[in-house]
Amino acid sequence: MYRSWAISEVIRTLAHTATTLSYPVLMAGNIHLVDRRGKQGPIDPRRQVEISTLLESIPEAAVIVDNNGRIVDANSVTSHLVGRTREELRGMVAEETGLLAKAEDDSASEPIVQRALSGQTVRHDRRVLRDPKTGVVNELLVSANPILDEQGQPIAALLIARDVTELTQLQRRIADIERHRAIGEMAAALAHDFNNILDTIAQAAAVLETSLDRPASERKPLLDMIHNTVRRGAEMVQRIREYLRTGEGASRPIDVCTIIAEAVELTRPLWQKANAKVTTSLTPVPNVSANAADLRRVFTNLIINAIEAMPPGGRVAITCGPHENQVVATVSDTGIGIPPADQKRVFFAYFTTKPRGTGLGLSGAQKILLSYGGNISFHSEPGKGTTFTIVLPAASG
Amino acid sequence: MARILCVDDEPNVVTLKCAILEAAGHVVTASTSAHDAIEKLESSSYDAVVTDWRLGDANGRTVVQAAKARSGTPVVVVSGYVAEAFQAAEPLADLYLEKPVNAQELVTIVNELLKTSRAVSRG
Repeated sequence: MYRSWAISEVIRTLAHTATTLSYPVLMAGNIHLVDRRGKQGPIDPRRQVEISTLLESIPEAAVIVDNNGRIVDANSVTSHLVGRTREELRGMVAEETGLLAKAEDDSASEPIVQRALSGQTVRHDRRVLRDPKTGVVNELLVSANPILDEQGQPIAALLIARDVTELTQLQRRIADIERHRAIGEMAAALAHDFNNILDTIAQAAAVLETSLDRPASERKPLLDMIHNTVRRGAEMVQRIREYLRTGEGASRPIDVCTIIAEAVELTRPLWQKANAKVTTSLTPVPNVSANAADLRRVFTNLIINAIEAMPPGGRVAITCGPHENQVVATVSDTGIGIPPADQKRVFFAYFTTKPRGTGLGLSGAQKILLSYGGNISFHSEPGKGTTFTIVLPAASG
Repeated sequence: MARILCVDDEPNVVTLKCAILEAAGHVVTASTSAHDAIEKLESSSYDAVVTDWRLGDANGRTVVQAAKARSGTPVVVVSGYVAEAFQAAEPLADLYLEKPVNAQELVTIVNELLKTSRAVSRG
């Protein structure tokens, strides 16, 4: 059985895929070569030149695979990325290039080539490429489009892999900066809390010193006080450590109420310093599937934002409860509210109204929540305050 | 021996400070809120006040003012927020001590203040 494979279709597919990657594709004019060939037959040399030219014009790794998943052609960016010549690549099964390897914790993704060959369009699937010789890991965003014949049947697929290793590293570094900034803002308040802890220990020790001749029953409460205060200090250090841990790693079943309670404790020195009151109303909720450090960061940021939005003596109310198959949490403040002009930019990266802000707190929070299938929204009344609402799907099972 | 009012919103801390001052021979009354401290200052007389700055219901300023309004009782502010206390209280209090405070230091300072204030009231 013969099928027509129109070059114009390849161009359209190339253009479509490349546009989604925000790169222009050089469109060669006046190409209407129609080639008739068997599905597994040899490739017409003339058409191969056309396809090669098109592939070369794409500044990302671009690969065309036939409907057996074997590479018809690939560009030199691909050769460079996978360390094989174009001749070696031709005829290889696409998966063997390593371009389509899943990230270890990524169990959700299906084989990209099969999806494209079944007519689906794949957008920005995250993949990793490990160089077996050097061990270097490249992070890729792979897109794939089916190439259709005249009857609209997929006969091949175009894969485009964008190397986002540097971009990802940069994003991680920015996330680190954001995380450390929150601790920086709390540093003075944390130092105060530590001083209170040391104050209690020093004085309990002093009182103990004067009661060495007293019965053990009188000294016991002082020793307990020292032990408890030391535990309080250790818990504080633990909370800071947990907070500073990166948000990487697998998702686990997480109790959002526990995360909120931890974020409230972590920020306690800050809101006490601001003379603010933080109240929580937490109803037991089903677990969500997420990374604890990520969620802790979301709530810590929201509490810090709320405190900074309020004049001294304000109130922050935090709620958490189940709603249908979701966990819904709200963080409300009695602050100045968000001016209507700023409201649509709240989740934009780098948008901030704070003198020392990075504008990454809320955009980061949104990114985290979206990655767990959740979302964040807000309602703000200037002069009255703002409520942020976080929704996360309950973990199945 | 002197009568001292000791204020801190943290019950453990107030218990310890009372114990330290009592061991130094003073009669100490504990208070854990600004509101309660002001009531006590209005109903009884004290020779000195030792107070925290950030109290649950108000800041130490109200306590300093209440103590000073009554016969200029000497006041020591003991806080982790000494700089803030110093600015906000317009140096109304006699002394500001930064936490953590050494017990012996606290006793020495309170005794010195009592000596000075007695000398002033006698003088």
